[in-house]
Amino acid sequence: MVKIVNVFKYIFLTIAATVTIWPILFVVLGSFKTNQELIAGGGLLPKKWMVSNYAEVWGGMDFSFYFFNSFVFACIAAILSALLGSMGGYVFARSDFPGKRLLYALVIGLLFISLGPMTLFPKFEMAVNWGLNSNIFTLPLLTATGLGASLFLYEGYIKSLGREIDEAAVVDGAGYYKRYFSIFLPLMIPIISTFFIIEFVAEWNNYIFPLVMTIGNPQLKTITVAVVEMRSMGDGAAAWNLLMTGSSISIIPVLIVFVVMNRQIVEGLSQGAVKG
Amino acid sequence: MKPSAIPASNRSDDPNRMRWTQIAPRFFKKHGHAYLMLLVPVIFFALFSVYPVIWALKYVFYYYDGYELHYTGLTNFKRLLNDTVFWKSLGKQAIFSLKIFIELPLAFTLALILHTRMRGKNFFRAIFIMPYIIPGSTMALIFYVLLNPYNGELNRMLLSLGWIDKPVQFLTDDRLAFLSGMMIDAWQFFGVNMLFFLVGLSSIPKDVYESADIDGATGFKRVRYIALPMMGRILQVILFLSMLNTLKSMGPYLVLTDGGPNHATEVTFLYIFHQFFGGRSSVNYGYGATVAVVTAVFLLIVSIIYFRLTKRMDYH
Repeated sequence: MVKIVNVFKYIFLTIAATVTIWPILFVVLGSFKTNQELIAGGGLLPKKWMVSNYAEVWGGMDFSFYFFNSFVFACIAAILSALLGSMGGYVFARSDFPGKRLLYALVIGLLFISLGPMTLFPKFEMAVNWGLNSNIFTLPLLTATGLGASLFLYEGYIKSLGREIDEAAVVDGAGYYKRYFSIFLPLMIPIISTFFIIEFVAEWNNYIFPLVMTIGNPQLKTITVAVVEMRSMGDGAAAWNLLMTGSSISIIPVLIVFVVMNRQIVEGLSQGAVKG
Repeated sequence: MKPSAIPASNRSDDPNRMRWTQIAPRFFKKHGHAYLMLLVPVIFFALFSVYPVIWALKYVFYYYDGYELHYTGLTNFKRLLNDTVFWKSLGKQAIFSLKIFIELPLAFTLALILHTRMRGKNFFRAIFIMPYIIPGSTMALIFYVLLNPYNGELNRMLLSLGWIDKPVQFLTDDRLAFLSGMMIDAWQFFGVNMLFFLVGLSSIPKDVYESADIDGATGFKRVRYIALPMMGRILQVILFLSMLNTLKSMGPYLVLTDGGPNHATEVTFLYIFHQFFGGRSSVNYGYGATVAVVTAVFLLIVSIIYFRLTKRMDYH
């Protein structure tokens, strides 16, 4: 009886897994097909492996450039978010100061206000006025919200570390900032790296923000923007295989990060559940 | 003598009173570090979190097309009242959120299966989360290709199976386009909800299951009488979060259909996007702000109602 149940379990899981992964395999394997094969249909595996698709998209269609943009954008945004979050968390966990409750209320209150894509417009105006959208290194500044939902997770993490560490450090003569940089920052590496990866993936995948911000600056396009643009670029079905290749270039890096950092990503995503 | 009767010049003689010049250094010695360290996060917070909200609250009363700005009072709200596209989009947003009824039962079932001791658990878990990890815009584009009526893979498969005799217009038929978007969104998010359910299931102490085993509770009974009630709080949170997240997302429609055909898939948040970045010739950003603010108020009301209701449930 148990065995039959087990067999059904695996059959169900396998069907669900196949349906889930099929579109992803379709892109990744389709990226190696010729255009004719893609349009004619057939099996998932390419008959002839066209590695040249990648050379064409990477070099000929500037995808190396978009890849670089995406990487810089996601990296800076993630570092900023992790650093600002951990600083805020440290102050909130270790200090009481006038205005703390007000700030707390503001942060929580803003979590409940969802203006959606509207907030992009004032940010866009700011970016234009201050010249932040002229450079891929300053563009990610606009994604930082400073204090957000992660503040409470950082705060909780530092609170769980115990006061004894502070007391020992104070005895040793470590000041407020030194305690943050040389004691808490190293201790927070697990949580910071988890948030860094989650944020990195989120910003790599971000489409709407770079889409809007690069309206007048096509040289800042990230890979997600470039991929969707490929649709209107070719003449109809003429370049479907290259579209697959471009898509695949945007997917594969996150898939690699996901496989390598699986434990941390799963942990980070699960914390998202607990925070609610 | 009343303190107020003391001339100002003598007040400093009072040992209990400190001068401002004395208070300030003490205050900064005590709190200065905290403020200085919060300075950068708070600047970002003020600029990129608070300012857009204030911007919206101001511009609801203005006409603004990027160059011209003038106060128009409640004109934007009046226009909103008569904007049938907006009111219809709210209904679409609500219907769109029904996709959680496809997504959550599937996620819960998979979580129940994966929660048991079995081989390949991490492998399956990783596969189910994968759609959530990869870029949603790229996958929306891929589905656009897959659902294409002429060379689309899905139509080709259905034709070769003999289930249909002519290609289905997945993205040009109003209802089918909408439904396709719901399915794609469910595909993308069921994995992460499964993960949340797994967290909930693992919060149930093991000995509860052991004593249930002794009592002979198996299979469905374990789910009905142990898993569901003991996960109560977490279940509520997952349900609410996924509903709210759907209510404030534009789904895959921006890339998939861009709101078409003829506004059929233009959910409210896509409508807001189009108000600002729709590429129309005559725009009024003030009106866009009005749409966004009114929508945010509706969502706030939904949240408050939800919390009221669940609070009542908790007392019983």
